[in-house]
Amino acid sequence: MPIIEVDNLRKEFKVYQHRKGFWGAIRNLASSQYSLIKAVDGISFGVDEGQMIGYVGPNGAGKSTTIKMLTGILVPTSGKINVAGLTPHKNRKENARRIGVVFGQRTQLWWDLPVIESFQLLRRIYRVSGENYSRNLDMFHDLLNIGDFINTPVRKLSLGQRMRCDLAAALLHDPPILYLDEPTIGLDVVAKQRIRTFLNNINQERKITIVLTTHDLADVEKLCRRMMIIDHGKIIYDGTVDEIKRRYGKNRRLVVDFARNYKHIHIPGSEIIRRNGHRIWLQFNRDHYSASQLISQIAEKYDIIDLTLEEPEIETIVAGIYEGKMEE
Amino acid sequence: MYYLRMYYSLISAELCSQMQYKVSFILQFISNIFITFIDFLVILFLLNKFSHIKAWTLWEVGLLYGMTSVSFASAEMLGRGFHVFDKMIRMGTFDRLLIRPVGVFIQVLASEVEPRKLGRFLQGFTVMVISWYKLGIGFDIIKIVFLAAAVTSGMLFFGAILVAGAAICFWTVQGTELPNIITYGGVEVLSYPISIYKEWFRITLIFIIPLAFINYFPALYILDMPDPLGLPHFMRFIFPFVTIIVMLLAFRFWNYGVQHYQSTGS
Ligand SMILES: Nc1ncnc2c1ncn2[C@@H]1O[C@H](COP(=O)(O)OP(=O)(O)OP(=O)(O)O)[C@@H](O)[C@H]1O
Ligand SMILES: [Mg+2]
Repeated sequence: MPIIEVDNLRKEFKVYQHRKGFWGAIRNLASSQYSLIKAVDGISFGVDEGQMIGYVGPNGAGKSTTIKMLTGILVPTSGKINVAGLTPHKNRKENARRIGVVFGQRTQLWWDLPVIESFQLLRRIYRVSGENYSRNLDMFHDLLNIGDFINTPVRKLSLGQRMRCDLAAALLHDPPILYLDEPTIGLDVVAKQRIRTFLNNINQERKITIVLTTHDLADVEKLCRRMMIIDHGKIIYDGTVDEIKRRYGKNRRLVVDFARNYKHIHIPGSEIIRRNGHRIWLQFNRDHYSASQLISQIAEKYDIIDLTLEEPEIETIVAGIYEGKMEE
Repeated sequence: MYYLRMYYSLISAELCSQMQYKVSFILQFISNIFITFIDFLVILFLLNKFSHIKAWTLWEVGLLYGMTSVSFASAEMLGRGFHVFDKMIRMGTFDRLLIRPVGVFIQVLASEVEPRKLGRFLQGFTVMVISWYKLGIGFDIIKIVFLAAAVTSGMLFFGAILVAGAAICFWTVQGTELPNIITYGGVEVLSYPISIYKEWFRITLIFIIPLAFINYFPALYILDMPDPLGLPHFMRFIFPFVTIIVMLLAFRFWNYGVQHYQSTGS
């Protein structure tokens, strides 16, 4: 049973040119001179309870717009959304009780107040019982190490610290669903790793359903079995991470260091894509040749010093898909 | 009750945040006392100037002035969240109000408060009390309750204009001058008895943007004055209904605006 169901969802923005202010707005309403941006253009999908799903796409693809409709911030132009039996923009308040949201770009906390005071305010807003509140705070202490800066005003926190506090704030009221819009943006490797470990933990232990957008595909690879790719408002891939590698990542690469400088190199079944002194990069299709076949072929004809086999990186595959030149 | 508690929690947070910048808070408070003092001088000057306006005595005009001042200063003090609402839209912070299980109206109301308007409030209040004393109305409990009701109604009326003005920002994104024209302009206009204005303008103030119900009609009752305009007697009692209608319209418009909220692109 999917906990989130989206059916043919659309969001269009009307963008007017250079007419601001009150009279501008009146004239805008009366005029037909605007460009229509189809930010989300008829997408459908379902997310099962307890699933963690990676939602990726190039800049301006429509990820944040989708999240804003799922959370009830934006009213869709058309289409249906059902989140645990509710339509978010119609039952906004009820829906808000059941979801946690983190926008990586913007904090949900009170900028000038110490972190702990934001938590206490949220506790009152969501009416969290004393017992649950202290249990959750203990957990965040353990898993996110927020104890060191819990009395610091939010504006004085580093990005990584702030993100951890935002995550904690989003989970204070034990929501069964968590939406994360770029939760690792701008973080260093260690900070990213810490957040990933935390997300993995709450997803496993508490069975929280998580929808996560990101530009770092390592987030998706490490956390999500399923990924969706959106581009120009349309979903162009929805499946497992492994499947995308199988389907699009058929070209493997072999890097060969020769002992001598060969003028002409020809290795059947592969294509030389780059050459630099004694080193060449070969590309071959995994369905037609195995790596060992290719290597023994090369070793027969040439003196080689070293070999490295490169698997297609998810990063490269997805970049290829964005650019529209990835073939199955 | 729940709303009151929620308001209290959120507004305390806001006040704590303001206190974080103690120096600027105190400096602004001092500069405001100064500005208020100058305002006082201006009022004395004005009161002298229009001492008798078409059968209105100095203190009768003082009462009119005091009533609008108190109403408007309270509205500005408490309704600041709506007054500067465009900032919230532009910075995209309105998003975060929408993901909380509390009505957005109360959250915007509780997002800002301007304690510094207290000076303006006290100034208006003083003018009102002095006028009351000089007019020799005395301790008439019914009239005092009536005055309190009129001033509260006036505050809600001005508040409704701030709300409607804020709702416009859902389309314009930037703030507009329209609500300011009505509020600041209204306060100026209402400092004089509306009977001094040209007919078309009076009609506007009574039937189109019914600001006259903020002070003119209630004051007629307090002063036991026959209406110089000759309008029916009941007009001086219907201000609560006028305010309720204005508030309902503003609230509707606000809710309609929320449905049209577009968020920001990033
Ligand atoms: N409030 C808005 N008004 C007008 N256009 C908007 C608005 N919000 C988004 N858009 C447009 O809709 C499209 C999708 O934007 P969206 O923010 O959903 O992209 P995104 O996938 O989140 O991109 P990014 O990776 O850069 O965050 C973009 O073309 C954007 O300019
Ligand atoms: Mg985005």
